[in-house]
Amino acid sequence: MKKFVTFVFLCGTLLAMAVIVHAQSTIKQISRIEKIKVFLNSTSVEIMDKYTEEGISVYKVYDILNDKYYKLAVDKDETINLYNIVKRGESNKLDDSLKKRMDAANTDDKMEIIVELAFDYTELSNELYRQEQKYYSNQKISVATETEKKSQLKNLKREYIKNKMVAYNKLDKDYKTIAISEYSPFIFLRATKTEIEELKNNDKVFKIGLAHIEPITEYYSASDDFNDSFDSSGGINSNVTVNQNSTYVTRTNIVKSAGVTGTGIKIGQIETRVPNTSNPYLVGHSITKKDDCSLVDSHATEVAGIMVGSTGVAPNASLYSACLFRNYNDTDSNVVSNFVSGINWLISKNVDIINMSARTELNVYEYDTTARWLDAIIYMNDVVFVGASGNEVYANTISSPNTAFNVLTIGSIDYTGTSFAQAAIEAYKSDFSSYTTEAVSGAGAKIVNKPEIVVPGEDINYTGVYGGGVDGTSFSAPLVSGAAALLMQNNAAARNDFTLVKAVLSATARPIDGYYNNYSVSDPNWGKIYYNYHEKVGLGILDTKAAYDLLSWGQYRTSTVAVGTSNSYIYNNTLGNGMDVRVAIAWSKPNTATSINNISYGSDQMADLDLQIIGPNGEKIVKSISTYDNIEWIRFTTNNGYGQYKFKVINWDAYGNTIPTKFSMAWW
Amino acid sequence: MFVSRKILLAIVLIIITGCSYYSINNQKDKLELICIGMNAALDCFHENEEYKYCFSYQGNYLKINDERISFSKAIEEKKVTIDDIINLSKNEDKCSLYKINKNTNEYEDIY
Repeated sequence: MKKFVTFVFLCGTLLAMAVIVHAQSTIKQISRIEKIKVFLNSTSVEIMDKYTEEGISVYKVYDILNDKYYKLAVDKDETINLYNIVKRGESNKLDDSLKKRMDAANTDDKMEIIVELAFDYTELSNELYRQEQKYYSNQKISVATETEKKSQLKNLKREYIKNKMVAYNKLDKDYKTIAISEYSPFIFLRATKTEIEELKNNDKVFKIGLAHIEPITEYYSASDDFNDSFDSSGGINSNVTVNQNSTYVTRTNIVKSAGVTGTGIKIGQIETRVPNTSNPYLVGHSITKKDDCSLVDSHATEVAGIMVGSTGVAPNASLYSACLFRNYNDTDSNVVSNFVSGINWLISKNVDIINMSARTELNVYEYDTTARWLDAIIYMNDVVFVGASGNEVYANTISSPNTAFNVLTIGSIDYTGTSFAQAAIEAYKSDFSSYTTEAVSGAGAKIVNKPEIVVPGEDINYTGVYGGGVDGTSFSAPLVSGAAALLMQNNAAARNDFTLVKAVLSATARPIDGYYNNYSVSDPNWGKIYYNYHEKVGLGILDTKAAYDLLSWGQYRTSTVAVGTSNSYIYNNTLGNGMDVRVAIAWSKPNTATSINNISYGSDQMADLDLQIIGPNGEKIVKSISTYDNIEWIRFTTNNGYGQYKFKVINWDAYGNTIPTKFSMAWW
Repeated sequence: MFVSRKILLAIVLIIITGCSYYSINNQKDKLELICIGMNAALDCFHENEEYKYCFSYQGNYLKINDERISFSKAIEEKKVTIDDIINLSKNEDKCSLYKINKNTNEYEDIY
């Protein structure tokens, strides 16, 4: 009996404690809302979303009284600030992976590193705008079509960037330089721990990381080439029958059959080696290899064949091929410099798209300086960059630099047939297709959601070099690169804006049964709130026909949404009843930091745009809430009848990000 | 008993030769797995009725006594077994080796 009384007493005490804690928590919440009201000088606010980021409580707040949106950071001491505030006294100059390598290194060990320089992107952006005005005021433009004008303008801008960067990318002391990026403020060095510490204290240096390009610790010789690995032939087994199955399920063949074949579009390829242009499916196609790339292999041949071969997606596009491995004398440092000089060369050739079907380093699961470099290259030079997600069966294995926000990362599904019918596909993620489970929005987000889109990557055989076929995300990515060329051929806007290509491909990607992300959370004001990706297959399967039609029918807008105001962008779209509609917005992740003092919480000053759909009578139908990526995607049915549906874009970064955010919107 | 120096020398020579012969023929091959796979294609180098064996990326290779040899050739010439390659890959964090059931397409990561 005594034991029972003690037990009841203990339970009661615990219950009372729980009630007190809960009450305190509730009081704390109420107190926070009151503090937020005081902070915003408003009597009426609505908490739209809240989560924790790096120990800081983040609130998305709608100031009803003043019709303004805010993103606020509430510190542990209950101090409220606008979200983009400086991390006080903390230097984030070194990537985590570099810190680990330095801990393990001896004093004299040298490391291949990448250094990001602080740079005024706003000034560059203004100057590029002036270049554009100058170009269009020139009456003697030598090309006829709008898409050709965009290409010419892109080239002009890139030349300007190169002149600027070559002069800017210098440090005040001589370090062992491996390579210099000609189209972004990044340099690559081979440095000791002491030198890295020295660089860390240099005001011009913004970030330092390991150059994540796989070191070749054992080098090749000519006799090392053999058939089942780095096959040097790139030739064809005459008994092999090729197929184009992956173009059918993605409806790429329909666009190609209509005569859209990538004419005038330039695609770049960078991977270990370059294609064998003697392969019968590549003969007669426009393929230019970088001068110092002397080694061919089957892999590069097959990837090139998918993009521009006679069996491929865009046979009339021009291909420019660069390599990570030039010759048998290459060292670790050479592989890094080959990557950089390859990207330099491709941008100088004014390519519209770059395909990378190579891994760089395994399991560098980090948004690091190498990924930042690709983001800057893409953002500054307006190039569509398509990367293979990788072939690691485990979750969270997408490696830098494919963790870059602006890269379009492509995974694989296991469907090997030719049917487009949803019921026939029964597609599943290929076991090997890399993905991430930690890319959830808000609390705990570590890596941007990847892959964005999937394409069949099993039993692929466009050039006959792999006998009966080959598996890998290597062969999913080039189908998207080729499809992007088809989209650009007749649409000047798509050729001029990588975010539009991302938005169009995202809006039209077909969700896969069994992987459709119907995640919703309860919200008294909204019916459904989506996380926009499925962690394994992103938004679904590429649908090139839909993407091409979307552009032809003008179902897209490119616009700018100002920050810190109620100037949300709204597109009024008249729609019928009962339609299944998919809407996507995409924007670029800029490297906006001009000095170390501008490092901000979490998303590095990248704008956090949200998408909302409002019905004909003002009904709140659905909104997306992801916070750590640069694509939003919504699927909804127009159950609210015929009428004007509002597609509304809100920029949450109240005052921290001073640059209005340009975005692309597409619907299907 | 008298044994001539010549006979003693011959015996010693025979013993040395025998030992050397034994040593050479019983020396274990030096096996190395070099993991540098960079091409994002699966590298399936061996299969039997039930399974196929693939590295996650192309470009890895074997060295036997410092001589480079492809996986398939090394297995074909019985210089290594598939178990040798599995054991080597266990100690190498840059390589992922899959054993794929050909009937069910199930992947077993045998790292």
